[in-house]
Amino acid sequence: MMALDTLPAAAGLDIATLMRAPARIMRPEKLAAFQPSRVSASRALMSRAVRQQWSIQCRRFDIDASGRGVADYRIDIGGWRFSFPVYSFAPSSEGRTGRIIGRAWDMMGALVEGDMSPADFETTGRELPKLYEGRATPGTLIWCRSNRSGRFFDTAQQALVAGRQPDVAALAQSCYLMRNTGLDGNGTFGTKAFLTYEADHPLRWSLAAQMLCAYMMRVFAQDLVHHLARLANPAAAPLAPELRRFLGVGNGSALGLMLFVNNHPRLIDRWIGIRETALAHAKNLDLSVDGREVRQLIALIDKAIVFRRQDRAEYEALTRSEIIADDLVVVREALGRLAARLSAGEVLPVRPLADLCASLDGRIVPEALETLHAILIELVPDIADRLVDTLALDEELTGRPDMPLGRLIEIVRDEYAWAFALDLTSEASSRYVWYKSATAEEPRRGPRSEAEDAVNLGLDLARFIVRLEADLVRQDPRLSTARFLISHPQHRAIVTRVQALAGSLYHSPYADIMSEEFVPAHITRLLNVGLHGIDKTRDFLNRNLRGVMFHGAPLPEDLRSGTADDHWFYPPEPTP
Amino acid sequence: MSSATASSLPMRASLRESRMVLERLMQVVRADEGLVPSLRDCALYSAALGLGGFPAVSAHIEALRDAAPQRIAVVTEAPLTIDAAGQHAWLVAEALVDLLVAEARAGGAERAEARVVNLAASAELGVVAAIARRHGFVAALVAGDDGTAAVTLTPAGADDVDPLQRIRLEGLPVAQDLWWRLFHRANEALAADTVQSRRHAGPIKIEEDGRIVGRQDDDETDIRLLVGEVAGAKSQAGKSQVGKSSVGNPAIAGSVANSAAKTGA
Repeated sequence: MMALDTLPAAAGLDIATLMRAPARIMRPEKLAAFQPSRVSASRALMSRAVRQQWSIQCRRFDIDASGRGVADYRIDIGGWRFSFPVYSFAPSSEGRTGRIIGRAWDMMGALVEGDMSPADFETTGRELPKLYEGRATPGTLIWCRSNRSGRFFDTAQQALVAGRQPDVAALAQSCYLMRNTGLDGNGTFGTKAFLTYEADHPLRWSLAAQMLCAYMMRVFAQDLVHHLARLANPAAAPLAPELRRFLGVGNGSALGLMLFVNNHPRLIDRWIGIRETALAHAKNLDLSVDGREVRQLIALIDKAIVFRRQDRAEYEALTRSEIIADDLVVVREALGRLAARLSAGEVLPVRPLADLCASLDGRIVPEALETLHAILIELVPDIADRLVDTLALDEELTGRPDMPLGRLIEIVRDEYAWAFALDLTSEASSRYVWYKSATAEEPRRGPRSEAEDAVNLGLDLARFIVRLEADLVRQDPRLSTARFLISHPQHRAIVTRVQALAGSLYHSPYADIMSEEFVPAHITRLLNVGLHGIDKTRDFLNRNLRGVMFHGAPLPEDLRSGTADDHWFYPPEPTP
Repeated sequence: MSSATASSLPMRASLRESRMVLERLMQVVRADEGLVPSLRDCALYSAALGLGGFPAVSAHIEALRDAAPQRIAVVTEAPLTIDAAGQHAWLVAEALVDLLVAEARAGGAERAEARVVNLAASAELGVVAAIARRHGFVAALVAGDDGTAAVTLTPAGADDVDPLQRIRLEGLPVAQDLWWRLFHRANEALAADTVQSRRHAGPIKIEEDGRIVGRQDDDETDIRLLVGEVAGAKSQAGKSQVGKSSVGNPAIAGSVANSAAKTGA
């Protein structure tokens, strides 16, 4: 099914049979149920940081009481060194928003290879605020920016100044002190192109550099709140380690992620593919007679239940956490029965974990089943980590001009059957247009009647496919694609995409994204929750999400000392 | 150093930035969306291969404004001859390489030749070199001044440099002032910012009657950003100061590799 397995052929076939067919998972509402797992970018980053004992040290922290100044961090990963310069600003309410149209940021930073020279440090501080009209210095991987969560940052700071720990109940409303408002790399602003990262580069897998920046935002936010408290009161309390672990970094996301999915079909296909591959390996496991796998699953499910019960976020359209928690209890009970059968020495089915999943499918909410899937992947950490290493891929799409049209029609009908089943003719089905605004290039989606002149940026995949097929059937099936495109040049882009992705299973959601019925938040969830690994994603107007990443993650001192917990996720609220 | 001197200094635009600007330029002249990725990459290769490149791109895109690529046709099979019907070379280039690749693979000879007549901007047909490389071939071009050209395709050797990888590694040289002129021209492909448009994104929106729709319990939005006078007044500031992911090029066939994790998009 996929070329990702390096196991013997027979085992590979077993894995293939356990992978879910795309028709079962590629509808937006199914993709939206994916949960953070070991192959999510933020968790994958932490897995490596824990295993390799990354070193993160603050070398400079010159910030005044207003919040204005600079800081500088050094990150050592094996033989690689990175700098993370920070330019901090006094918070301003003017022009402040989580949307990219915002013009006020509390910090800007960069991830740069090696030790930065003073000149580059100064240049970066000058260029960063220009964004699109700024230029990164050589060796820069990412530019980033973030804002304080005003209420919660101030709450935490005031408590520390008063010599006490912040109120957990208050902080748990957001679970972060600062929120990411932008991460740009891979050539943007002159940053280093991802595919030119060296073969042994520790961040040579998709989104690793961006995730490291997000982690550093979290490090900086905690250092800043502590620093400002100390400036106000030299006897201020330090933020307790368990609270520091609990606090992650915030993140808001929206419509741009649909455009990301359109533009990165190979990455989406690979990422969903490795997730399904890792899950299939887990389902294929034989259980040890001592029951250690099931014990691990139960321990993690128990953590997940508490995590969901303590979730204070209010959701609009998403499944509430208490419902997910209730269904996780059903999972817990099923695992308990499995443990009992193991300890009783009963003969189990050949693939008991696959049976377990199958028995729960449809009985519990999708988010609960996907939580179990995420936990199952923890049974095969080495496989999952190796699969993440394959997330370095050339995303160029090249067609097959010699392909006969008969074969092209087969691919179109086989791999895009879902498109032919959609209503693509009603007015409501094509009511919307995706576009970017002149202001800050903000991705937007609105009725075409309200944005008549906008250039549509959304990939109208289903209609492209149906129109292509309609023209293909009128041709001689022996004709080459090259000849067809001479007479039908308008199909060039979709033909190239179809041919380049032929045989890939998971590259495009099965959806008409132009339709009134399409819910953009479903795809935002896929990326935010599944791919990025963000927890507690609150939904807004079916299009925006706001959540927390690195929620419970180890601290720099945990990583350096080798005491970090690899199963750091689903943190319980710290007790006073 | 004077600003004029600084602006004429060379800079290197990355593959991603170059594609973003060139793709938007194609959208500015309303090129058919099925051809945008192909035309974008022709312009990219023009810059990478030392053809007209960035200095000539504004003139070339104007020639694409009234394109009629469906008029391009194969007129003879032996020798393979394509009538470009007066169309710009960028509209012909990928179709031509396609025909040659199909012929080379079908014939088993791994070699193919074709003639093109009635070609506009024939020197720009040199982009076939980079397009052919994507298929594992080398293209040799002889372009005449009379709108004719001859192209021969042969298998690429292991030593033949991949133009895309070279752009990734080195970027493309371009004068700063030219780059920023193109950058701003390309942004004409973006939609005008209006109060109504601002309702098409974000966690909250303000209706015409001033009603705020959506939860604000932990939002920190400066509401003035969403209403009339500030939205309009800041439009230019946003263009010059604010950005986010540059991922959004809607290439159907193209792709802008690994990108921002982002967020807030």
